[in-house]
Amino acid sequence: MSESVGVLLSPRQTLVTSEISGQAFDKIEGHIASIRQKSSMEISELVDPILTWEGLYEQKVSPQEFAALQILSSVLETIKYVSAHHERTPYAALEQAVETEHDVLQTVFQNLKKDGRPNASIVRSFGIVTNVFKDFLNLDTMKVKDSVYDQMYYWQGLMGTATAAFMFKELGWEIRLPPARADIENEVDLIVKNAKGDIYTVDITSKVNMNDGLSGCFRASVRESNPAAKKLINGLSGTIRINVPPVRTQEADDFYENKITGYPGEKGLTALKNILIYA
Amino acid sequence: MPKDQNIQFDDLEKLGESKGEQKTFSEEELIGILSDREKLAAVYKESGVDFLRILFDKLAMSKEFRIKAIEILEQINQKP
Repeated sequence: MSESVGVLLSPRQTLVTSEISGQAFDKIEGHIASIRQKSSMEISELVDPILTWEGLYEQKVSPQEFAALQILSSVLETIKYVSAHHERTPYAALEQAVETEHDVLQTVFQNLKKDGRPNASIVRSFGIVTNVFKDFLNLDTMKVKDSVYDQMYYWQGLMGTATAAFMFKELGWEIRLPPARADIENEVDLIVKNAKGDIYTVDITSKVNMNDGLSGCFRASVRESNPAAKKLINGLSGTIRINVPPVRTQEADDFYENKITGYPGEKGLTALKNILIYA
Repeated sequence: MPKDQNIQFDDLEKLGESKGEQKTFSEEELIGILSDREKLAAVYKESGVDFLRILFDKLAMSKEFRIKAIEILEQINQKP
């Protein structure tokens, strides 16, 4: 065994849980930042700091911390894949982007607190991803064109979907994830069902409308589904289109309860409820 | 759902629920995967976060496996 492994397995140091958690994330954040500089990711580069941390403190990564790592890992892998194609995004990369989005959404929704809000580790992981990759995640910067992603930031779009899902969950609707093809080809981000059993596809965006300005960031409407969507889902009642305020806009201050995870506040929920009351 | 046509709502993946059956790897398989950079990349691409979860679960359960894994990863990192 080499000297450094001996260091890794040194006697446990006394730290309170919150310090351990903070140190683990800080170490990961620093490590991820250095990987970002190289624009690439090896699995061993992610595993290494966790092994180091676990060996040093002889304490395994908690399920919540692991859930946070899942988010980092998924996003990193997808970004690496998508960014490998600068001119035109292949279909497989788009599929991976959607699947990653679904993985992240599942990770978030499988790690909710009793009050329905994301747990602390998830909140922190969202913050890390947003900060560390704020430029890297910008697909405009990556010059990805001729794809469904050329109009928005990947992470911003993902957060917009999380926000809409939180809203439907708060309103008591059932939420399902569509096949990746439906997202790419038919702009179906979620499929939801209300208490009456009516089923809708949901098309979610998170943009600033240049005509309406910041005050028009939240928009929602219910309309007839396009023929392709009707063919896709049995018993479809219509399509709900939602634009949630990007978290960096002024309107977001009132709209969100938590801008890091995109958890909506009362204003956002009421706005959607008023539109969906007749759905 | 091969053709993504006429899908029933209840057959779609529910948000917030586990996907159910998870791929598994034995300790020997994990060591073999960690030892081979190309295999590692292939498995990670196929299994993604499932592989990571299994790996970390195993690391938490077995100190011997953890030591072995650290040695292997150190060897990988020392390669040019």
